[in-house]
Parts: sequence; C-alpha cells; structure tokens
Amino acid sequence: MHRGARATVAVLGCLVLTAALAVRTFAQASFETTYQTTDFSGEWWAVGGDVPFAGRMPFEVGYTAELYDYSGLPFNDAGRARADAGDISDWSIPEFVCRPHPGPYNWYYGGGFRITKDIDPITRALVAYHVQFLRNVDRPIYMDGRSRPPEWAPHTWSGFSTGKYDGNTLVVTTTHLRESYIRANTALFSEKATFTEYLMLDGDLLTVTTLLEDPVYMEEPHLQSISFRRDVHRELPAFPCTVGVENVTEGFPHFLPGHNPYIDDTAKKLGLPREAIRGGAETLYPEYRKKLKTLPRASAN
Amino acid sequence: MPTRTLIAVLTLIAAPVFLHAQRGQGPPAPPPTAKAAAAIDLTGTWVSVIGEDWWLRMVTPRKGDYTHLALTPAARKMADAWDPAKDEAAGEQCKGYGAAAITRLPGRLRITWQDDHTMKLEYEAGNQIRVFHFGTAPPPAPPSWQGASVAEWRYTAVPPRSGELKVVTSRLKPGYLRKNGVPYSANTTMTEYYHRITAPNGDAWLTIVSEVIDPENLQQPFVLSTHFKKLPDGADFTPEPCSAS
Repeated sequence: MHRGARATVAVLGCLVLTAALAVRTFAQASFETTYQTTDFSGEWWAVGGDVPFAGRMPFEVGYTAELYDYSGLPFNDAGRARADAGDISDWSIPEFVCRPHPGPYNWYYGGGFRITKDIDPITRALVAYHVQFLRNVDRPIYMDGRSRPPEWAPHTWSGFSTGKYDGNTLVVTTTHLRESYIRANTALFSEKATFTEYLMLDGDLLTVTTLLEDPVYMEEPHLQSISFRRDVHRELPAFPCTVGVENVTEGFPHFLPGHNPYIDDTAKKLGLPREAIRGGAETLYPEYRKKLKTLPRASAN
Repeated sequence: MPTRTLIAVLTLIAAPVFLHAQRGQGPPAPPPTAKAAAAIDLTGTWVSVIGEDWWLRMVTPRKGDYTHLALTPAARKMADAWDPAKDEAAGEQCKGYGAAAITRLPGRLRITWQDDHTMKLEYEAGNQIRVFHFGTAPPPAPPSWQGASVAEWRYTAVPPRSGELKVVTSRLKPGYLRKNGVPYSANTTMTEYYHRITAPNGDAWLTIVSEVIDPENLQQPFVLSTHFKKLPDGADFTPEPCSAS
C-alpha cells in the first residue's frame, strides 16, 4: 500500500471510529426517569374559594355543612335513612372524639396537607406517596403495583390506596374503607364504597377530583373537587388529640326512623323546598331546576 | 486487501453515520394545527353535574350570601345593592353569564372546532358562546361578556402524548361572579385548565380549574374547579336565555 493510500485509510478509519462513538454516546440511557410524570410531593394549603362544605375557611366566611343537608349527594333511600338516623353529637363519645377524618372527606376539611415520597434507596423507584392531613396520621398510596388485600381484610378510616399515572394525572384507587362521613354532618358512605382520586397539577395549583362510588347508599358516583396551592413556608402542624368523656347521654346518640325533629331545619333556614336538600341523582342535573320551581318551600313556622 | 476495496468498505460503514447526522436539516415541516396537535379530545356535549355548592348554583343565591368569597369592601357594597329587576330593565340580564361565572351555571356545554386553530364552546346557560384562539392573539374587539381567550395545549413529558388545555381570558365586560350581584371588573383575568378524566365505569369527565384575579373586587385569587360529564353523541342541547334573577 502506498503511503498516500495508507494515510487516507487512517483518516477514514478515525472518522468512522469518532462517528461510531458519537452515536453510541447519544444512544446511552437518559439520566431522566420516565416512570413518573408529575411530582406531587410537598406542603399544600387550601386556596380561597374552593372549599365546598369545609369546616374551616381561611377567610371571612366560617362555614361548615348544615345538619341534614344532602344537597348535591346522589343518595338513595338507604343513604337518606342512614343519615337521618345520625346525631352529630356522636362526636362526643370517647370512641369518636379522636377518630381521623376518612379519606374521602379529608381533602375537603380545609387547611393543608403534606405529601412525601417513599423512594427505594437502591432502585430509586417510587414505592409510595404518603399523605398526611391535619386530622390523620399517615395515608400511604402504594405506587409499586402491589396487589390489593382480600375483601375480608380490615377496613380503616383511610382505606387501602394504590396509585398509577394516567398522563400527568395521578389516579388513586381506595378500597377497604370504614363507614364514615362524606361531609361535616351525618351524611355517610358505606364500607362497600370505592374511592377514586385524580390529582392534577397546574403550575403551583394542585387540584384533587374525588369520585365516590357507593353501591349501598348512592344512586350514582359522587364527584367533587378542590384546589390547593404549594406553600413552601408552611409546615403541617401536629394534631394531638385527647380522648375525653363529654357525652352525658346514655348509649350512642342517634334518632330512630321517623323521630328526627331536625330534618327540615336547613331547608327552612335556606328557604328551599324540603325535597331539594334530600339529595338523589335527579337533583344533580340541570333539568331539576324546572321541578324545583314547582315544589313548595319549607316553612319556618 | 487492495487499498480501493478498503476505502470502499470504510466509506460504506461511515455513510449511515453521516446520513444520520444530516437528518433534520431539510426544510422545516409546517407546525401542526391546534386541532391536529390536541393533547386531549374535548369535543362533544357535556353536562354539568352539581355535586357541590348545590344551593349556590341550582338556585340564585340569596342577596348577601357571599359564601367562599373574599370580597373587597367596594365589592361587598356593590353586591349589597344588587337589584335584578334593575338589571333586567337595563338589558343587563346576562351579567351573571360572563366567562368568569358561566362554567359554574347548570347546563350543557358543547365543544367543537370552529377551524383548525379555534375552539368554540357553546353553553345552554344564557345561550353564550366562548371562542378559544390557539397560537395567535384574538382580533381586537371591545370588552364582552366572554372576553378574549388565548389557549395552548400542555403535553405530558413522556409518551404517550396526553395533557391539558390552558386558557387565559381577559377583555371582559364587568359582570357578576355569582348571580346575586357579586361583581367582577373589566380588569379581571381568568386562567383555566381543562382536564379530561375517565371514571372507573368508563364515563368521561371534564374537571375545569379556574383562577379569577380581580384586584378591584377580590382580596385574593378565586379558585374553583367544576365538573362536566360527557354525553352520548346527539345529546339534546337546548339553550336558555339569560335571566337576571
């Protein structure tokens, strides 16, 4: 081989080697993870305006749910009967004084919450999110694909939650709930309820849409949502609760069917027809406004 | 191996590498239309399902009911003077149907593409229409109940492509944030996010997150999230006229 030809071969060889190395470099795995599309961890606080039926407001209007107000709930007759039997003073019995808010209600309590991530130290995979509200201890949302416990496994205030991403949205499915309240009155969901949450992030706004399906107390799924803002200057406070015996009545506070004298109070207070705030799927749709105009208003007398 | 053969072999090996590097240097492809680049499908007819704030939405709230609202003193004074009969007489019965309030009113919502870069939202409530412009600012126009809206898709960071719709609305004619006379001013700006979610039973839902900023009437941004459920194709759609009360 001539010297000139050898030089040409050497130059071409170097070019091929350089190009091949460059392609190999580009083909290497990215440093970015791909299993997670949105990070929901942090401290969050309720924003003004979007606190439906919450017990605590960050501004001028203190507002909690009116007693026996089921408006907006797709209750069936069983749901209404169960709620009518409730007496809000059941909060005073020792077993309930410190009960945590149930998962389906906690978002709507007002105030804030914290979400942390449980990361496997070796694989760095997201094992779980943990949500802490003021009035609960810890609620894990398992992200590792673990299987759900059998139906007969214990039911708890927070239930058993698993999560998965759908695009940018975190979809959480919760089962194994104990019967507890939907809003700050006696409206309840049953232990057969399934709860789906959709967490969506828009800038520093986190919106949670909740969908409650209850084959025992509801005619169709109940949907609500609420928004929170990321707050890097706030920490979720501790919530020490001491069980006190404040109940001076005998037994468990309740009303027997047909003996609750307070069912119409809210309708009277708001000047609405009694039927309107009894809930039901029909009452949730725009057409119901026509019927509403034909119904007699509850009288204060 | 003869030199020429060796050069030919090396050239053949190198060619794909250099061709690979040439990619993307041709004439740029035209950007896809907003319709073609949609992150999610919002088209169709949707119905509002009033599962929260029922007695603030299914009936006109009573005068003086400002639940959830952090009003300025000036706004409270205006709201306290609300007179629906006066609004009707002045032809201002649509004040409660402006962009900052209409999503919260009961009724159906029909979403279509007006053209490749413009989305149209028709509301039964008040027979109102909103138009979302993608990519370019809307043409100049005087303030109106529905204002001027600029929209953009926001996509997921990783495939498959999905995401949300972000819409910013301004140039609003002063109206009512709630039908009982709670005011918003011409300086109001509203940012919305449209999310499509799927329920376990397969139903499609819209969650619309809106943030209204009006320094004249609100002490802090007013954030709400509202739901609509997708209806089957061909669902009834019956617009209703505005009503001041």
